[in-house]
Amino acid sequence: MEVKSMSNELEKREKKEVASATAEQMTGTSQSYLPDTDIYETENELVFLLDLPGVGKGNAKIEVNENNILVVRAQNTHKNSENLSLRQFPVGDYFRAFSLGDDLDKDKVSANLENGLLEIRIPKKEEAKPKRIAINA
Amino acid sequence: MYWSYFPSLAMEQMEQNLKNLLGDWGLGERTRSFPLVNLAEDDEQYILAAEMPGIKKEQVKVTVREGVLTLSGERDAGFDEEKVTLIREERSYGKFEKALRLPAKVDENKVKATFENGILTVVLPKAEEAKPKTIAINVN
Repeated sequence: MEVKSMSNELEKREKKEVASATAEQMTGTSQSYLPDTDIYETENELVFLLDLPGVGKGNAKIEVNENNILVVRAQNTHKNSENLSLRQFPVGDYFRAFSLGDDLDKDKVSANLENGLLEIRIPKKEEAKPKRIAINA
Repeated sequence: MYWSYFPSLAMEQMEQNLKNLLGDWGLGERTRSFPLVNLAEDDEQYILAAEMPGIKKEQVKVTVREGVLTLSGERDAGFDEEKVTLIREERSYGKFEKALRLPAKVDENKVKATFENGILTVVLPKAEEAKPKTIAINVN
């Protein structure tokens, strides 16, 4: 039940938040792209995996604002060569925002960026974790 | 998931042009074949860039044989699907193989590959006979 509501919350609110947040200052002057993202949940935490090819350590900014929105901005340092004869991907900075549920502990967000993959882990608050109830015989 | 791509460069470009024409290049829209590549060319060489976020360099194999550049390997999901509840799944993972036929002959012994921040760059110097030549014009 918990899982379902959190997932719906994300689906429902994300678009709006991205749309309103795009008016904000970006990391650079170039166009920003939405990174492909996986989100999964375990008993203890919510994990985001964002594809940020071209982003090195120190070039990604993560924040959770007062409205419970997780905001990720990243600067792409890869430069396209000139005279492209085949162009399948655009190169630019990345921006994406996600609405978080109230059951997450926003003070304990941790993140790791490696080989252009950003992993963000947000633990659930103690009271939101599933509890095993002992059955008295 | 498993990808197998053996299009020629011309076919790949044609497909891309069609997608561009149909407006599949808007903000945030990404084509799905993994990895996405950009290929640049000048008189001396080809430079290929491939987006491979989350892949370690040991997981990628780059080969050039008879004018065909092949990128292959495997990308881990980064989690065990059986043990977690997936809320959103946009990234692709699994085995991949992508082959591109290069338009001109390259010196296969001088191909160099580097890997940085999830982007693979392959530099392929053209073979001597494929480089443009300047013909001296004798003026009497």
